[in-house]
Amino acid sequence: MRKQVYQKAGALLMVALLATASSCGALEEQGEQVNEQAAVLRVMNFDGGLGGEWLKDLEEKFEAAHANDTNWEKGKVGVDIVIDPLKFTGDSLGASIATHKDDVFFTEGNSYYNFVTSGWVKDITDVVTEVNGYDGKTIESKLDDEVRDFFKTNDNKYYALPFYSAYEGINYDIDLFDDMSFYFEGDTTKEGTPAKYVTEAGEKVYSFTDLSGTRSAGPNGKAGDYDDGLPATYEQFYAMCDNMKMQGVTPMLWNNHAFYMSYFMGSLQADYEGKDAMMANFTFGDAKNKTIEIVDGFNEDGTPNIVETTISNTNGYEVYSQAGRYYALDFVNTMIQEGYVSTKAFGSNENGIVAQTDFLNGKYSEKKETVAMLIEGTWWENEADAVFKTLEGTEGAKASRKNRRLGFMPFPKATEEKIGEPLTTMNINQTAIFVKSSISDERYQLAKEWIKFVLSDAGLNTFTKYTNTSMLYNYQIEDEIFNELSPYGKSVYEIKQNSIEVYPASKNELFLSNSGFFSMHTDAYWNSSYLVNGTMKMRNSPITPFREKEATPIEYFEGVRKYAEDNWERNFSKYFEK
Amino acid sequence: MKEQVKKTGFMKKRRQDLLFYIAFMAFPVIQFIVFYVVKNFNSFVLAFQGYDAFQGYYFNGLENFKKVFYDIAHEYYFKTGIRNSLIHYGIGLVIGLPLGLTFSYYIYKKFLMSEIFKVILFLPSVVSIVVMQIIWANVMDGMIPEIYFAKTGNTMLGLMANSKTRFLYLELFNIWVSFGGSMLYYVGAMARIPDSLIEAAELDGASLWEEFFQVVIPLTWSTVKTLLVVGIAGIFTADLNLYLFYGTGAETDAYIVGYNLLRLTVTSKLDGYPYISAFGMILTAVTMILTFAMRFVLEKYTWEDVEF
Repeated sequence: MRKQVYQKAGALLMVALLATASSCGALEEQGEQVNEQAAVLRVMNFDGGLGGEWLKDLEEKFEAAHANDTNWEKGKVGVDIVIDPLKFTGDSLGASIATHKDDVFFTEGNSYYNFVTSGWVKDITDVVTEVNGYDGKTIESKLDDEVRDFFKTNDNKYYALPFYSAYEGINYDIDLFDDMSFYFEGDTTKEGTPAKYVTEAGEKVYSFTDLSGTRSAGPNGKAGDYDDGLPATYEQFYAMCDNMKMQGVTPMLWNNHAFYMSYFMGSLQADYEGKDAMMANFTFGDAKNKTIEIVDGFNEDGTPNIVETTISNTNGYEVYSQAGRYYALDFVNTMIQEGYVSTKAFGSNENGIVAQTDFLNGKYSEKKETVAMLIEGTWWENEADAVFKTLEGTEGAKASRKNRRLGFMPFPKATEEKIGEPLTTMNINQTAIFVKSSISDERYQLAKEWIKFVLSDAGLNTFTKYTNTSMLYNYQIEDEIFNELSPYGKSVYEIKQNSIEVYPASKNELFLSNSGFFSMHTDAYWNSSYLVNGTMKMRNSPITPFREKEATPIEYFEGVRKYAEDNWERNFSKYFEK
Repeated sequence: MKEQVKKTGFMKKRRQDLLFYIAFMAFPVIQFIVFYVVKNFNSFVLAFQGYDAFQGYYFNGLENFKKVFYDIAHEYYFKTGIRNSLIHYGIGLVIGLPLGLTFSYYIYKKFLMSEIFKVILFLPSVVSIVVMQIIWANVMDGMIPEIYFAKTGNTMLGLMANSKTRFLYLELFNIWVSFGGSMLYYVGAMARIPDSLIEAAELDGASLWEEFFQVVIPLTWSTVKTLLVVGIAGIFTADLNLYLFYGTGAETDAYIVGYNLLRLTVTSKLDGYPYISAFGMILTAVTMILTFAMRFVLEKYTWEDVEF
């Protein structure tokens, strides 16, 4: 009797274990049918704002192109790419990568050299340097110099390649700008300058127009191109916000993720500093141009006093005194103090999706705020796809993603002297495509072929077609694809074509060995310490201190420098120049 | 012969028993080894290492511990975190515990609408914490400001967004969501009290207050004591659900030790892990001392456990 009980219990346990095991398999089957007759390659795709439609399309094309291949795995005909959408990012991925079921990874937030040093990733040098059969070019030739230099290790090998490119910045509603005339009218007597007129009170104010009017030249100082009528300076930006407020429109919204604002302010800083000076934040003693401009106190009129200094690992904290940081802080402070930003932006419920929804929905409801601009990364439009679809259902075709005119605004310049300087954009994330080192030899060859296919011109165009953004490579968008892009996608492409990009990484040992600390994603980039009622406090973001008038931009800025300098030696002396 | 058959049968049964035992225990034991023993051993080793991008990990002596102690003494957010952790524990002790006991007693006595209260109070414990957070955040930072706007035409900061009210509403949220869990223990402990003891107290003319303080509390004290000791162990791991509300970007004034540890872990790369390991080890040592001290105090100066 007891034996029977044990047998039944044992059988029950086995059934339970098998059910658990098979349910995992069943789930996978529900996601994507695995073709056991073909050579299988598993691909993890970061399941974030850019989604996976683009990869699905490439998967189908790749499988069709290699349907009759027999060379990838003995006894197998054709290939089967299995896409695994996961939110697995950062260095924590490395610890489990050896036993991870996926072979190839498209992800973000990883420290490339940590992966190389830890032996987690496979050498893909030939993929990068050999001519790609799919388009007759090498992948290496499509990389910017800085990006190439970063990914090529000191022994001239590549273990990963960059994935997508994304900027954080001001996204604006072109339809709203047009309908409510938020563009600066051009002064026809002085080319490129916004028109002003004198009110009865004797106040000089700007004149605004819609898209059909004569618009000012915008921040690049050239009339007749993509940025016409947009604010050229911070001062003009504030005037535009005043105009919006007067017409009952909330100028700005952002979400409650602190690191988004860190990215945004870092991007403003990059545009002020330009590429070389901005790169000093990541290259320190290995900077191409070691002379950088920093703020040495403030003049009586509140403007920063700029001096030059030579940057090294030893005095790397000097980058925290760059004027671009100050102007970025001042810009955000003005947005808050002048009430240009919706109070929703400070709420714990205003996450990324909610803020996107509020931005897109606002103008269709009288009960909601109409919002003109949203601080977000360029992936946001794709992320908000469901919101567009809902709006299309309720508001009609004009509200669809395809028809709604939205754009990415080139940054206004901090000062008038900067007008005409090229736009500098910041690739906010370190992204990567790599193959795990524990991959089998057979799959390794297939993985390399797959990467070549994805990074061919056609593959890159497919990415752009679906996501309305770009990969971090130089490639021409085909006319047919360009015409299919949403207005926002076209705008992002224009920005890419007209800007100088910064990639926030370098091979400097101080940077690489402390990459977590120097990432804009962490709060260390804007940490500041200053006195509040006699107590030295540390803040990790200026938003609340500005909102509560705890610190002025100058106090916060000086605190950023102080915090960096106070902690520099004890944390990084190992990397100081001898 | 008979003896031998009996012995063989016994051995076979022993083998079957052993097999059954192994089948039953293998999974939890392996899980314990991998996710507790190996993980903690790895953390222990990491705490004595440094990291270099080109060399990987290297032995770094006590450097990480020195850094943690320096930060505890000098860094504003460390000091704030320790202060807030102690306040949070204090609030649980002074408000959460008496409230939990009182409501449990109310339910145990089956007073008016106790069944409805039971459902209302237990609900947050069975619904996902993420769902509860979304509801709370939308009420505090969405609904209330919108009502205020509709009534006055002025905007206001949400109660979780305003740094003056944030800590209070975080604490209220935490009491709300953890209430049901502790009540489950208290009601369970109260249900074990023999009816005869309660009847005897009633026959002796004890009021409800006397019954509560002089019969129910002493008889359920072993459960309360256990939860108090477990609570001590959680002082430095509780994160006040800050991560749910603010991700890694909570303001430094709101920091609590458990949140700081979590935030560092989420945002760190390989170079940050040794420091976090040292931090974790120091917290473990402090928590151990506090836990034993609390146990000692409770054993020595409060009611003895009662067997019934």
